[in-house]
Order: sequence, then structure tokens, then C-alpha cells
Amino acid sequence: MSAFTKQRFKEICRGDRPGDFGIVGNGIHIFWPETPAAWVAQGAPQSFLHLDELDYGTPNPADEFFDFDPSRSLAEVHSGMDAGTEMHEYVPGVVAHNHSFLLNPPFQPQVFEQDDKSVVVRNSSGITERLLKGKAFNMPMWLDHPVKDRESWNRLRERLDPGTPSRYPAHWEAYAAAINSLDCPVSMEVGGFFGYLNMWVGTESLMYLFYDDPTLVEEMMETILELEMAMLRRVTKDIRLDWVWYWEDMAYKGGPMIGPKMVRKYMLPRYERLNAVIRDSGCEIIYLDCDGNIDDLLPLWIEAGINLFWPLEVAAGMDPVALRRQYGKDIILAGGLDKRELMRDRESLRREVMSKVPYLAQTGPYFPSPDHLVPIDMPFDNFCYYIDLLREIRGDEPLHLAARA
Amino acid sequence: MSKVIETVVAAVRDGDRESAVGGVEAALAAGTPPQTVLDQGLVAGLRQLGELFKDGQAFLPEILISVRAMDAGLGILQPLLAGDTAPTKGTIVIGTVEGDLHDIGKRLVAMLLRGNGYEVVDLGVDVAAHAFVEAAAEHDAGIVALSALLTTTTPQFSHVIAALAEAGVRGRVTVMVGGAPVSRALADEVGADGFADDCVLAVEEAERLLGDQPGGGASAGPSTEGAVPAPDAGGAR
Repeated sequence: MSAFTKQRFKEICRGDRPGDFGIVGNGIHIFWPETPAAWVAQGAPQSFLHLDELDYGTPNPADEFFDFDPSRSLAEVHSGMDAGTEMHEYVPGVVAHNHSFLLNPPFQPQVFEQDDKSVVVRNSSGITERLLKGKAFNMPMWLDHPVKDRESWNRLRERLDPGTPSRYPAHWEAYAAAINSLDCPVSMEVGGFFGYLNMWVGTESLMYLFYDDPTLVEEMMETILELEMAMLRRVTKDIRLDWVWYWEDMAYKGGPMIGPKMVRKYMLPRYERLNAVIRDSGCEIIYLDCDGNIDDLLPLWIEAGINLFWPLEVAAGMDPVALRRQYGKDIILAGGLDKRELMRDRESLRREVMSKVPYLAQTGPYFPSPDHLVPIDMPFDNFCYYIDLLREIRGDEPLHLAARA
Repeated sequence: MSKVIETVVAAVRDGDRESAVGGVEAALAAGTPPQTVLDQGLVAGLRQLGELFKDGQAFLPEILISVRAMDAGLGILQPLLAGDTAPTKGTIVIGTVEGDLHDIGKRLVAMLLRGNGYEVVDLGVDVAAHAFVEAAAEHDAGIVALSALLTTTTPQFSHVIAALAEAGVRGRVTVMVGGAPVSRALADEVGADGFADDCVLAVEEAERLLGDQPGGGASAGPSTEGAVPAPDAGGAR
């Protein structure tokens, strides 16, 4: 198979290469940071132990091991959640993801209290959360969020200035030149509206806010829009983007948290304005990451010009084959492979992959991946087998990864 | 149904706190018994909202403001109901399993169960199996409801069910499970009696499970007449 160039990526996304697809790491095959480290005990290379400490742009041993197709995220540009993300060790042995969720400067991580079982901390996005001790994988419990009212919002918005120098790499021209020299798809985060408000306000409080202070909701979303438009204009002046990434996370297995009417009122006009800037820059692919069941929201997002959807969570009722039949080649599907089946055994894994990937790749644009981040309980052997199976479908030589490890 | 009760129903359904309070006060002033205001007004309004939710016409914000309106009305009724012998429809012990700190889905389920007349003992998050067993015994619960967000924590369902059996209380309680990675198949696999995909369906599943229990209260608490449809009535989103 030919190299995974910008042109090949574009042709796949346009549906011009039936049967072809990318086996992409960046934005598609995403690991929970704990997962590769856990795989070391199952035979993965020792170099998997400290992937979270790598700087963006440096060779990633996991990308190399699995021979992922090249793709470059502008994660040094602080326009979303990736820049500044780290695995932060709050107290010895208690490590958790730490995102700043657009805030620059971020809050200083702080430990408030701890007992034998847990620790209460404030993370970089100003969320106070409880973390469990002694866990290889830590999903926090949110206790408090930085925005409670207009006054606290006014304080937070000071951290949302698109002109803050540290939102961009220090040596911009050299950085842009290096990025432009790559012949692989280049992506940038463009924020999101519900997802970030959910982090700053908290889910329950945000739900009330839509009724109690809709003007404040509009104001927060407008601030995000202005920040993203300004950053996009600055970045695309010097760098040609191949795809951009919205992060929303506004659905659960029962459907969206807010209804289509609210999405149309609050979010759709802002997607349209931001997407116009994206299209004007020559970027064709607008990716949206939303967990849960998004069936009710897809028509709205498509109307707004978004055309790539990940992760298509099967446990939430998403069915990529049904989506292809419904929407044809108009949207690019990504994910949709039931992680529970991929984790079970080789037979289940093969059945899941073979029932979806060949059809989806043949009938339109598709990027296979598990239906969310690769979890810590995914057996390493299964994942190796899965990668070779994808290669087999694409017509590539197998890597015999399990044997190599 | 009187006009004033209709006002209460509409206020709760539409999440209008002020109208809920005003409606409850007006109904009481008109001589409507507090239990009737509760059953035919507040609870009926919440159930209408549940139907809208199932039809895809209401979502989480509407659920929350509806529960808030109901609570506002209940605040007026509660002192008047305290003297009544108003039994609940049954007791449900709920919690997120050990190793899992996910809270919001479980809290929504607890809110709606309370709103629909159940006594809910919320054990919080990261709850050990033995704590579910102890609470079930202490509160004579009809249901133990388990929540998990992660594939890594759903195995705790089996641990809790085994602990209930070991303590000799499994025969007295039914177990229902829910959460992002949870399916009916997983519920069957771990030996749970019930499963729900969302907070509204959780109320229906509780109705079904406790309806089968001796003393489960199908006839106790707020009237169920014309309210929540059968759990297999479909319409889940």
C-alpha cells in the first residue's frame, strides 16, 4: 500500500478509494494513558511505560510498534484539551489525566485533603475532584467546578484570551515550516461548545443554567467561538490543515443530554460560523468526538457542515453499518468497533471486525478503531491481533506483533 | 381532575417552580387532601415528563427542572403529610460499585425514584459489596440498584450479588444494574434481576421488580393509576 500522504487521506475521506482506510493513531486509535503501560506486563516493549511523558512530535514507540499511519496533531497549539495535558501525580501513587480544557493559564494543580482511600484535588481546569488511591486507572468524581455564576465566569474568561502567547509554540515560523514539510494529514483542535461548558460548570449545574440563565450559556459559548476563530485564523495563515477536531461529549447511552432544539438554538449557529472559517482555510474534514448515542444529533451536525464522527459507541446503540446505509458516503465514519467484543477473545474480535470493516471501507470513507479509547482491560495480544487483522483486510503484510513482542 | 390540580401537573411537567408552589398552595386552600395533591398533582406531573422523555421531547435539563419543581411543591406538602400514614412504594438501596466514582447517572435515577414515591438510600460512589449487603438488610430493601461507568468496574456487579447470597439476603432483594457499558445481556450474565438503559426506564424497572415482591408496595404510596406504562411498552430512546 502507498504511503499515507495528505492526498491519500483526502481521497479516502472523499470516498474515492473503496476498500482503503487509514490505521491511524492520532485522534482515532487513542489509548488511555495507562493502557500501554499495563501491556508491558503482557509482553509489550518496555518503551511503552512512559508514553505520557513524550513531547508531541517526537517519535512515539507505540505508533512505531503498531505501524500506525502518520498523522500530526498541532497539540502544541492550545486550542482544545490536548495542549498541556499530562498524567499528573498528585500524591505518590495517585496519577490522573490532567487537562486544562482551553484555560490558559491553567489552574495550578493542588491537593486539598486525603485519607487512606482517596485524595481530593483541584486539577488544571479548576475542577475539584476525588481520586482513588491504589488504582492503575483513575476516573475522577467531580466535586466542584470553577463557574458558578456570572462573577466566577468573568474570572474564568480571563484565561480564554486567544492572544496569550503561550497558546502558540515559541518559535512559530520554524514550527509552521516543520509542520508544512510533513506529507501526512495535519489536525488541530477547535474546541467545542457543550463539552467545555460541561467541564467549567458541571453537568447538573449546566443543565439548570440552560433554563435559569440562558444568556450566560450564550455568552460562554460565544467566548469559545471567538477564541477558536481567532486562533484558527492565526494558525491557518501559515499552516495548511487537513482536518480539525471538535470535542463535545454531550450524549450518553440513552441519547443526547440536551435536546436537538437546544442544540439548534445554542450551538448550530456557532458551528456554522466556525466551520466557515475552517472551510475558507481549505480544510475539508471536520471531525466531531462525542461519546454515547448521537443518532438524534447527527442530522444537526451534518447540517452544520461537520462530516467525520468518532467513536460511534456500540454499547450506546450506535451502529456504523446502519449509519452508512442511512447517510451513504456523505459522512466519514470512524470507530464503531465494539470494544467489549475486541476484548473478549480472538474469535469474537475477528467476527466484530469482519462484520464491519470490509463493508464500511468498501462503501465509503471509514477509519476503523475501537468505539472509544483503548481501555486498560484490553488484552495486549488481542490488540496485536486486531492490528494485523486490519492490515490483512487492507492488503498489507501482517506485522506478527504478538510474536515480535 | 380539578383545574388547580391540573395547574400542579403542568407546573411539574414544565419545570415551573413558582407555579408548582402556587398550585399546591391553591389546591390545599381549596380543601384538596395533601395526599391527593401529591399523587394526582406532583407525581402525575413528573410522570407526564417521563413520557415526554421517552418520546424524545424532553431531555436531562427538563428532567432536572421538573424534579426541582416537584421538590418545591413537596416542601409545602411534607409537613402536612408527616402525620399521614403514607407508606412508600418500597425501599431501594442504590450506589456506584467499588472502584468507580461515577455519580450523575446514579443520582438522576435516585431523584426520579424518590419523585415516584420510593424510599431511596443512596450509598454514594465507590461502595464496597459488604456495604450494599448491610444497607439492604438494615433498610429491608426491596431492590439493590448498582451503577458502573467502566468496563473495569462492571465485574463488581457479580461480587455484590455473591455477597448478598453469602449473607443470605439474596432471596429477599432484587438486584438491578445500569451504567454506560451495561446491557441486558451483561445484566443476565451477572445474574441481575433487572436492568435499565436510562433514568426513566429505571423507574419502570423498579415498578416491575417491586410489583413482584411481597410487600413491595404496588398498592402503597402514591397511586400508580394511569401513570408509568409497563416496562415492555417500548419507546426507550
